[in-house]
Amino acid sequence: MKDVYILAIESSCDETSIAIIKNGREVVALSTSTQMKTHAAFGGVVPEIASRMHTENFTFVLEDCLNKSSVGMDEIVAIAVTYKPGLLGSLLVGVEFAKTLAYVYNKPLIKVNHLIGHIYANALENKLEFPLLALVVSGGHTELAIMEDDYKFKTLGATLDDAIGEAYDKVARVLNIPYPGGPGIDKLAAEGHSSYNLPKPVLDETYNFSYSGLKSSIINLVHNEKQRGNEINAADLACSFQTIAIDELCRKLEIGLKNTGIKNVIVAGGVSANKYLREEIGKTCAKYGANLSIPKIMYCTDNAAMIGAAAYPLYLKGEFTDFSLNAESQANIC
Amino acid sequence: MKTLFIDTHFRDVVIALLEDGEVLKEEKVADNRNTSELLFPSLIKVIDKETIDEILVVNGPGSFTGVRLGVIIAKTLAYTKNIPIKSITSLECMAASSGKRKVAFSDNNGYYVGIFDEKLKIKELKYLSNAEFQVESDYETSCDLDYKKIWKYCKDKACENPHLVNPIYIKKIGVEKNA
Repeated sequence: MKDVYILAIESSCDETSIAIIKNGREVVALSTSTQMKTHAAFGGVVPEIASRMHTENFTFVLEDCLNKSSVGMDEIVAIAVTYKPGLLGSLLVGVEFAKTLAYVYNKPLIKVNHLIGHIYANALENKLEFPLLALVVSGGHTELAIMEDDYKFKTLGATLDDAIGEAYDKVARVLNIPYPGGPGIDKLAAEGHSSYNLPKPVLDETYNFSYSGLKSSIINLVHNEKQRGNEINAADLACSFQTIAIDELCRKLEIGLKNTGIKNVIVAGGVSANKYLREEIGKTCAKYGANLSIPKIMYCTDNAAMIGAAAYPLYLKGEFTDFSLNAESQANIC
Repeated sequence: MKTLFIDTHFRDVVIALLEDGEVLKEEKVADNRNTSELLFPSLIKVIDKETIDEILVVNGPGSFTGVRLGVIIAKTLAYTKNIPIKSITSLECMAASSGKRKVAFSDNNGYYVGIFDEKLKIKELKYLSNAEFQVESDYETSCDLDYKKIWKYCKDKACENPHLVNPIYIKKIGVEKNA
């Protein structure tokens, strides 16, 4: 079969990214312009500034990606773009940019769900083996799902309140860890001990998650200690938080492994870059003899390579979209 | 000489194909319609099978998201197809169309204001609150676009590097006010 090259576009949050992906597996070229430093000055992503920077950066990123690529636009068979979920203004810039490329080069347009993109980041490492359990952990989502085949999902459970990444960001803020807080907590936690007595999420046997209680207890604890003039041991508190947060993921995954008998696990989303998570999920999978796939750190955060990987099965099925494509801020896996 | 004119800065989005300033084709997306769904299909109706010699894009000020959509399409078309591109502000369009040296339009919270010299070159662009604007009120505040006049106005403008064609916003956002 002829090789399939897809040009993919991602702008759902604060990374302007374009990639060329071969057969849904191989990164031919990837160019990403990150806005992290700009937003760090504000303590978090400012949506309006993110949209502005995407508008300024896209043609530069395209030029850079094509310069890095051994294949040109004539060999590209389709244009793929993230259309949900994310910051609406940022998504819209990417969607209209993608439409323009699809029109100019006369290529079909493929719309990709960003969360499914995170799942397919794993296809850049290993061929996905079905059925599998997919654990999606990001700033907006915490979800456990069964994947029976390409694009065949069955959600087992999701967070009832805050996403795990959101809890990380909020805890980082009260500990004065600069944005992005997740990597900062991970690093700090490695220097500490789990010495604080924090409330554990309800020990139920469902697949649902809850992180708002844990988050609030830490915000209250820091506030109370400050009022009393007591010092907080930030490393210990980070470690105590991280231990509970990640152990809860492992516990739900374990229930899934036990109940379904599925032997393949993939982890997806920005929080999958967390070192403690990678170690602990590894142990859980080993206990059940399950194969674990976690993307390389560079493909855990937002990038267009994963969008190209997720677009490939849609290309094979001929699932194209037209020029009236709109962006959506909210979405789940299915 | 065919010019593609794209104006997405405000409620009524306009895409027009001009030949030496005269309208050949025109598509409008009316207020309250979903711009992102209708904009590109409207553009295709105007440019399909046409050879475009020049792109003229309104780069604001006005609706932040609206302007971005017009600008990202215009600069990407210009970059990929190697079409010369020029940008013009929404307030210059009003000045060129009306011939007036003081123009303004409201976004409900306040007014985007343009002040021009006798040759209709920009002296100042600013954003005023409703209260500030009422103090000085001898402005042209609504006028129809006159494509021929806008096209003539832009003849003197230099072509721009498509990478560097970007929206102007004028109005400050929350984080800028706090800075």
